[in-house]
Amino acid sequence: MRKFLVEPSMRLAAVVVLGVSLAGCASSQPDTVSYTQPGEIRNTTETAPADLQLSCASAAASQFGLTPDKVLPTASSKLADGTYNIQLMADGRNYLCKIDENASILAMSPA
Amino acid sequence: MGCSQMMNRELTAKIMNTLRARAVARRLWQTAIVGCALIVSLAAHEAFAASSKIYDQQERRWIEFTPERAKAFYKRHNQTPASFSRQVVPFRTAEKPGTIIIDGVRHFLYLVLPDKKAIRYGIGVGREGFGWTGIVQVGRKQEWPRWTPPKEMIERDPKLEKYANGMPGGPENPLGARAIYLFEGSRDTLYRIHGTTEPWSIGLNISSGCIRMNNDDVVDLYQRVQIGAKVIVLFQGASLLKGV
Repeated sequence: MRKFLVEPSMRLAAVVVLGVSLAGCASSQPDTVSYTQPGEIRNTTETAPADLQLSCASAAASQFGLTPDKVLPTASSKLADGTYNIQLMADGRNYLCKIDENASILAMSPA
Repeated sequence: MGCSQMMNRELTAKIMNTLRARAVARRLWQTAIVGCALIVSLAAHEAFAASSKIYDQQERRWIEFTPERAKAFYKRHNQTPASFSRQVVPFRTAEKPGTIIIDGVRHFLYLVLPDKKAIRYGIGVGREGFGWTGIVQVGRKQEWPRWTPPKEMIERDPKLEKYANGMPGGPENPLGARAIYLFEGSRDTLYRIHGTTEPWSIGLNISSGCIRMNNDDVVDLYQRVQIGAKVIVLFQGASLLKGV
């Protein structure tokens, strides 16, 4: 049987690359928890809860004198500290809002 | 065969094996790089194509909530996952009671109630490229609505040609038991909140832009909502805007 001779450095490089690649795969998977209920659903993208998005829209309308019915949340994301960044659009302009879980507005500015 | 010839052959074989091994290692390296690139591009794609995952108790991991899995779940439990059941939830908003808020990413429709509460229903929304966002109003309501597929839908699916003049309301009608027509000012957006003949599809990005609910839920919503009610559609990543 023929054996390929692989230089140790090449072997190490291949193992490291495969390891990093597999680690990348593993970290892209959501964590599993043993107490998860059957049929539990979650989203691949973590957006802000709808009521927090609308709280930001309402606050922007008050602060910038915008028509409340024309301020639309268009994107949101959860930050590492548990607060949310929310992007708003009104009259063709964008605004940025930062809000916490208790619906307290932490920052608001035109984008 | 002389000793030096044998040594030459062994040396040649050794060199060839080393070269082959290097080629194999190079291929492994290239495969790993392509793999990493694919993982990165999928992760980037996932950020824009929001969907749901369901926890699989047997496999003990989160898996994509696809139409096939949704059908299997519905067949096994005779209902959609519990998250999509109708329920009263806390909801902090300055919007008036009676306002409808649709969260397309999380697949929920909220009907605002007094005292910072809302009724939350599970919904199915537009598939990729068919999602939209905006602020519209309830323009009309209809029990057991007639369904007329738009011209563009017939072009996409010629089997629908037979319904070009409309399909009467009834249990086979894809709009289900009730339809709530969404208007932009006095203009029909052609989008509706409606029932469905496919109750398993709640929680999926599956429609052509309409908001679908199971028939019990759409009947419940229909009797609570008023003509003229504000409807806010939140759908991150949607490029189509209505009413703003």
